[in-house]
This record gives sequence, C-alpha cells and structure tokens, in this order.
Amino acid sequence: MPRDTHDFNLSTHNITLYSKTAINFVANQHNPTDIFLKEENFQELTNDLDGGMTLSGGITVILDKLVPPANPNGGMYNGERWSVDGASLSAFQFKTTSEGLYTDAITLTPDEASFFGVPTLYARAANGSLIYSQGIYLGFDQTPYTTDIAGDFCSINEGREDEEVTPTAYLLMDIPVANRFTGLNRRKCADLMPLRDAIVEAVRDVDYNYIGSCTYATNRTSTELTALTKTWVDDEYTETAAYNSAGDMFGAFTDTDWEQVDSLITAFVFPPAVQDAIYHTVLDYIMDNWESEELTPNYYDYNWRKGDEWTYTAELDKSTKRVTFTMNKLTSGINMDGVGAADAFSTDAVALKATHRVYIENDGNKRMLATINEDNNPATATKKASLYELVSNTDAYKKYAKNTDSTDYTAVEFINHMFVESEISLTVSGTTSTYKYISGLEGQNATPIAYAYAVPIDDSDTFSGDNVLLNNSGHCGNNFEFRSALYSALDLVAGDNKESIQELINAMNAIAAHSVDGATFAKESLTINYNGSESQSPEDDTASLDVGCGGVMYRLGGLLDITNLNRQLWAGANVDWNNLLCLFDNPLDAIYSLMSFPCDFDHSQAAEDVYVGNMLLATTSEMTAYRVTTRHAKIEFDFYPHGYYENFLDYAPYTGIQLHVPYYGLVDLPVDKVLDHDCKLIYYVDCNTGMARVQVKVYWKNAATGSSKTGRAVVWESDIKIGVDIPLSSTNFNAKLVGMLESVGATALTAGLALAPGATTVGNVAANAVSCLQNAMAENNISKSGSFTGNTSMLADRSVYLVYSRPIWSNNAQFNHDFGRKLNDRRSLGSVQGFTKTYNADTSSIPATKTEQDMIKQYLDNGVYL
Amino acid sequence: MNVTLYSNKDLDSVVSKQLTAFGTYTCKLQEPCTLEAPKVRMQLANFNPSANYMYIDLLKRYYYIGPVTYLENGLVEIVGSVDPLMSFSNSIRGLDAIVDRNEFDYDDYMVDPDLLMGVERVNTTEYIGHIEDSTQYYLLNVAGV
Repeated sequence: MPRDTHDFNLSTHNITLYSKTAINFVANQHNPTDIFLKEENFQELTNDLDGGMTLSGGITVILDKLVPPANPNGGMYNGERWSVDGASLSAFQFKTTSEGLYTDAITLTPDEASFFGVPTLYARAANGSLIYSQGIYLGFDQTPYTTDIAGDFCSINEGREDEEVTPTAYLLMDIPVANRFTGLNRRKCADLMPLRDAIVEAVRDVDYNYIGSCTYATNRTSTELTALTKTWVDDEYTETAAYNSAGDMFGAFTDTDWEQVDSLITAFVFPPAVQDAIYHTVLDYIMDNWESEELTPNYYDYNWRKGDEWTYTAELDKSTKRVTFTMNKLTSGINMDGVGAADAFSTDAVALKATHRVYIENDGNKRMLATINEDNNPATATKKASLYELVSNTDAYKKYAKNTDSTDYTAVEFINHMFVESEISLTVSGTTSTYKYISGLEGQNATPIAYAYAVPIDDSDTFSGDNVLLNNSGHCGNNFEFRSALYSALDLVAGDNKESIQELINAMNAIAAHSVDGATFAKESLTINYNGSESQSPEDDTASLDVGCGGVMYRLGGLLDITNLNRQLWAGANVDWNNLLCLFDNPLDAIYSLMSFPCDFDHSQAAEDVYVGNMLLATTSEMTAYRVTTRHAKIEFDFYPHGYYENFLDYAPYTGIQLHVPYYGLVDLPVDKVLDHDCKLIYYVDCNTGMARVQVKVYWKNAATGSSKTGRAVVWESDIKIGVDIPLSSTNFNAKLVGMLESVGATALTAGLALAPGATTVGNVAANAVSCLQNAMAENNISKSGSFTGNTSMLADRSVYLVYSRPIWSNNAQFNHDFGRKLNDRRSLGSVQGFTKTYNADTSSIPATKTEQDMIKQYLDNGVYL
Repeated sequence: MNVTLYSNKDLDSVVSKQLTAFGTYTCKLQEPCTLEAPKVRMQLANFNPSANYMYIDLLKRYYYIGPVTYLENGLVEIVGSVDPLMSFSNSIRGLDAIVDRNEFDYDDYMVDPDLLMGVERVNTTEYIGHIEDSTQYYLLNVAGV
C-alpha cells in the first residue's frame, strides 16, 4: 500500500534535491567542487525562469522526499540539500545545454504512480543515469564517481561500516538493459523470501508468447521458440542468485536458509517483458513494505558510498553463439591488456569451475561483497568456494598495481575501488589448471569480463552436462568463459531439450570455427541421449572395412624403392625363384600388382623385410617397405555450398552448382539438397584394385534450430579408378604399357622402372599403345561424365572446387516501391506499408456501395500504396 | 452541404493522399446524381483550376474532380468521380487479406518471376582443396601371409 501519496505530490510539496555526482565525464573526479553541486548550484539553477531547471553539463538529480523527520539529514550532507518549489518541477523539464537530459520516462503502473506521486517521477538521463524519488534508488547505468570527501552525504556511515548503522540486508535488482534503465534497486529488506516468491511468480506469469519475439539466436519456428522461451521463463529467468551476509551465493532459490540471505541479484539478460515483471514486482514490494522499519530510505547512501554497485549484463551474439558478460562497475574498469594473460589449456575432460569474487576497496580496507560460483558438474555443483579465500590475499591487488601503467595510481588510490576477481579452474584428467583474472578499478566503464561458450566436447549428437566445456577464448587477459549456456546444458540434462542440444552443438561448431587458442576438443565417447524425432542411419565408414585379397600389401618407401624392387627381382642376392616354382608356372605370378596412389594407407611404423611367398625378396637394408594394415583409405573434403542473393534465386533453376571431382570431372549437385548445408566429398580408395568409391554426402540442418547433422544422404556417387598400374612382368606389361603411355606426365615417375622380361612383345605393345593414347586424349575432357579409367588420371586436375552459375539480378532500388516483392501471406492491411498488392481481397465488410467495394477490390488486387 | 476543394498530386492508387486544401464552399447536388459520380453546383466566382479533388461532407466521400462547367452568375458545376481508397481508408486498413506483394514485408524465398533478371549469368568458382599432387604412394601386392 502506498505510504502516503499526498506526501509525495510534487505539485504541492517541496522537494529536496540532492546532487550526488556530476556525470559529465569532463569533470575532474578528484575535485569535489566539480562533482558535488552545492546549494549555490541549485540556487542558480532553480532560478531559471523557464519553469524548469537548466543544469549545465548534466548532473544526476536525486529527488528525495522521504527524509524522515527523526533524521532530517537522512544521511545526506546538509550542504547539498536544497528545497525548491515542487510546482516548478512537476513538468520535469530538466534541460542541459546539450538539450534533452531527461528524455526517456519510465512508465509506472497507476498504483506505483500514485505511490510515488507523479507518473513521470522516474526519468532516465541521456547517458543512462537515473533520477529517483522517495529514496528508491534506481541506480546508474554509467559510472558515478565518488570521492572521499569529508562531510559528504555519506559521512553518516563513514568509518562505521561494521557498526549497527551498517545495513545488513539489501535488495539488489540488477536488470541490465541498454535502452531502459539499469535497475539497480537497493533497499534494505529484512526478509527477502516474499520478494523472491513474488519475482518468481511474476516472471512465470509473463506471457511467454510475448517474450518470444524479443530475443534469441537462431531461426526457429514459432512453436519451438514459444516452447523454449517458456522454458526460460520457468527456469532460467527465475534463476535469481541470493547472497547471505557471508557472501555465499545460494543456489537459484534452492536453499532454504533464507534468514541468512540479505540480498538478491537477478543478473541475466531478460526480455523486456520479464524486466518489466521483475521491476514492477520490486516496486510493489517496496510499496507494500514501506512502513517497515528496515526500509528506511537512507541506507542506499551507505551502499553508494561503498561503491559496491555493479551491473552485470550478458549478451548473446547470434552469429557466434558467444555470450559476452559485461560488468559495469561503479568505479571504472582498467585496461586489462597484459593483466592475467590467458593460460592456454587443452582439455580432454570437463571439470570446470569458475568463481567470481566481487570486492570493494575502501582506503585499503578490502572487503569481499559476493562470490559467484560456477560449476559445470551437477554432481559437484554444491561446492562453494572459500568465500574469503582472497580477502587477505593481497597479491591479487598487487598484481593489479604491478601490471597497470597508470601513472596517477596514487591519485586515485583513495577512491573506493570495486573489482572482480575471477578464477577459473579447469580439471583435465585429474590435473587442474587455474586461470585467474581481475577486472575492475579505473579505466573504462564496461569491461567485458567474460565470454561464454557452451561446448560439448564431441560433435556427436550426444550431450550431457558433464560434457560441457566452457572454454578459454585465448587472447588477452580479460576473456574467459563461463556460465550462461551452462545453465542450458544443465537444463538439457534434465529435460532432453533437443533445441538446447542443437544450440550447444552449434556453439561448439562456432568455437571450432574460431580456432580457440590452446583448446582441443577431446573425442571422448559419449552416451547417445538424443531425443530428436528425426531418424538417421549410423554414419557409415566403409574405409574401416578391409576385405583383404589373400596377398601381402607393402607400401614402398618412395620412388627409389621401385628401382630397388627391380634390382632385387633381377639381381637380388637372396632371390631364389625356384622356391616359387612349385606354386606358380611363372614365379612372377606371385607378384599380384604394383600400383601408384595419390593417398597413403595405414601401414606399419617400421620397415619390414619383403617376402614373396616364402622367398625373401628384399631386406630392410635393400628396400624400404612397410606392411599395409588397412587396405582402404579415405580422402575427404568438407565444403559448404552457399547462397549469394539469399533469396529464391539461389536455388534451381536459377542457380546451378557443380562440384569438380578429381579423376572424374564436374558433377551437377542438386541445389535444393546441398545449398547451405554441410557437405563432404569422400573417396573410399581400395588399394587392391585401385578403384575408389566416390560419394558426395550432405548433412542436412534442422531448419528450426539451424543445427547440422539431423539427417544425411548420399546425393551422388560413382566408381573411379585412381590407382595407376605399374607393370613388372611380360604378362601384364602389354596391357599396362597402355596406361604408361597415357601417363605422359609420369615419365619421371616410371623412369626408374626396369622393364620386365619379354622384350619380344614390345612391337605389339607399341601398336596398341597408339590407339589407346588417342582414346585417352579424347577422354581427357573435363566435361566427361564418367570415370577416367586410363592412367591419364595422373594428369587430371586434382583440385576440388565448386562452380556456381548464377543469374544476374538487376536489383533496382526502386523495384520494391513500384512493384513490391512476393509475400503471399495473410496480413492485416493496417500492419503493412508501402506498395501492397492483395490476392482476391474481400471488401464486403467495407461500408460502401457494391460498386465502390468492387472498385476497392480492384485497386487492392492491382496494387495500392498504404 | 459543403464541399472542400483540394489539390491532389498523389497517384490514384495511394490510399491516404496528401492534399492541399483550397477552401470549403456551400454547394448543391444537381440531378441526376449518383453516389459514385455526383454533380454539384456552387457559387464560386474564382474557382481555382488547380483544384482536382474534393470532399463532400454530406456524402462522406472524396472525389476526383471531373468536368468543370462555368455557368452564369459565378456558378460552377463540377462532376466528381469517387475515390473509394481515400474515402474508406480506415476500413481498408482494417481488412485482412492475402498480400501477394509488398514493398517492405516480403519473403525472399518466394519465387518471384517479376524480378528483373538479364539473360547473362555469372560463373564463379570456390576452391575447396585438392588431392595431393606432389607425392605418389606405391603399393606392392605379393603372395604371402
């Protein structure tokens, strides 16, 4: 209930003005006269004859009508009070020399407006700072400076922080929003439980359909977005952190020991609807509890003086899925370059914990205000960092001093400081690395203190909370990752939220694309926990199959070893062909093939002696050869056909996409199947035959989530000969010489070959070679559809590339105005503008004659300008 | 009954036209008269020939000014033709309809044969990679175990 609305009527009551700080950054923050306006300032200003106030340079004005009679000073410095006629302020026409200081009024509900006197009582300055009334402090978006000035408005608590006058409970509403106010609303609250419940209830009452259009990253159907936002409303947005007097952060309303809790912080990016819900809930709470002794209006001064306010914002980058956390500090930040250089760490396990400790530094008396713990392991989420671990650890602060080039450090030393010390520990296979980082102090207003990624450590469709990697982004000292998506991950574990899975996989992909320094993503096996409705066959990998061929396959060390092979065949000291005569009429039949490939095969690490049957052909000293362990190899290329116009012109029949497949030629790809999808060109090479099964695979995205790997298909495949036969004996020389002749460019390659015996057949070979060469030349046409079967494959262009054939769109800027563009969807004509052409509009509801209705219908169907 | 004369420079297809008013005058309807094409007569010695649009309050409609006839004694007779778009602009905006085309709200991926395209095409390539071309690997397959 309003305490006394009559008292707060600005038109009939005097208002006490307080100036806390100049927010003109040109002002010298160390000069009190530049910061705190004195009576004479207000005297001068309120004499302005335009009915309002003209404040040169811009200041933050605090309207405080609730200074209790028992404490007239209200914790304020008397010299900074000034009474003015409320009537002159009723219009709130505050102006500055630059015009428009207070431009963005915040709308209150009727009850709130009644309670606070006038509906425009709250106004936001152009730089984001706020004015407030009745002692309700709405906080600052910028960085109001405070200086240690004797006798200032905070003097009542100066040096008495630990005494009874020190408030023991505060309410902090930290609702970051760029274009609204930053609602840091601090009140002393004896019992926050009702408020907590009220906030939760209010947030859950928010129509999530209203939220749906406000935020988030990916393309979703409305249904999916609605479901997701509902989840947020139910879960994440009520994740309000609670702090007790010791600085422990309780879980998101899970702890029940609320008697110890003395502050609440909500610190997420909320959609406006949620912000409004929370904001008004807090105001309601204050209104309902205004008579409470604990809600005296003066304690904010103490907190203000302590410099322990901050805003905590997070923004999700839609393209990279990166969440940037920003701490807007009461005092400014510093340039963190060179401070706390990132420790590169690789990860194959995911026990990561982040702790962020918020300190204030008041004339050398450091005090920790709060600790925020992050732990990605649900099983250990209850771990609480030692709250005062660093209270006495001055190294952190020294580190700041040591690494800061600030030449005026001593000048600012006396200013109350606030800084955040963040510590991330990452345990990798039992080894823990810790990354510590300090943000805060003077320098810049909003230092990005963290970037967050949520990363499943495998790109499989599997995900669980334990497999979240929150990863260091590397460069500079002021970047690390924690948080937001972690919650999504935990939600995921509980709810098998498919969208969340895909979101996180997307995030991982985004990180992989950014080549995070020092981070590797382990390929641990993960339990399949994918609850998607799509079905897909397991990823085949025929390269892992080895059919064998009854022989032994050696991979020679190089071209020289072909010469060595021939030397051993015909002049090897160990070779006794008689050993093979019992098995073969021609001992050379024991040599099945010698082929050249453009790819390697898995083989033994050490060279081995070469046996033909039971005959030692060459020792390792005579020839380098490795035993092939896998007779299939895979050559793989990833590609991503992308659109250009980002409209229907990117599809067939307007756009054609071809893929150049080495050893084959150009392949027409089905545009509708491959455009904007991950694709692979894969060669499965068989070393026995020299053939390769070549496939183009597409991994379709889920249209709703933008995630990949929800389906795959082979959209093209063919068999191609890519192994080149090298003849060793007369039995295959005749046939294979054809290939040799075709392989003109391989002259040097085959120069080391010693011709097999059987020179009498050379004439026949040469005759055949002529015709075959002609055929080969004819086949060496890149537009040919089919495999290059000859050895000319060695001459083929081995580049893999896409060929786009697109129309040229005359995108005339006037076209849309003159003709419009295709929509073909139902709309209220009041919601569209400009050129509009309807299809068979129903005008029967228009109160006009039939003739006129028909005329209107004809106009609409031919195009009108709305 | 009054008629307000305007100058209109907008296309007929503009629903809410930007008008420049010349003045409001008393007029009388002349028989025969239809709602869509009324004939009005007014005492107006100095009829502004730039007036090409009018609003008749009794009929609650906007009209394009058609033939203007100067009569004796400063009388002017005007034949109008109704502009249903301007006259019922609010009702039109209240309609729900399938919007085939729109200037600002459209679907890029809806096939639009009206887009201006030339017969020329642009061909581009995008390099992906290449199969190794500097090294060959030699595999020897022999009898044995």
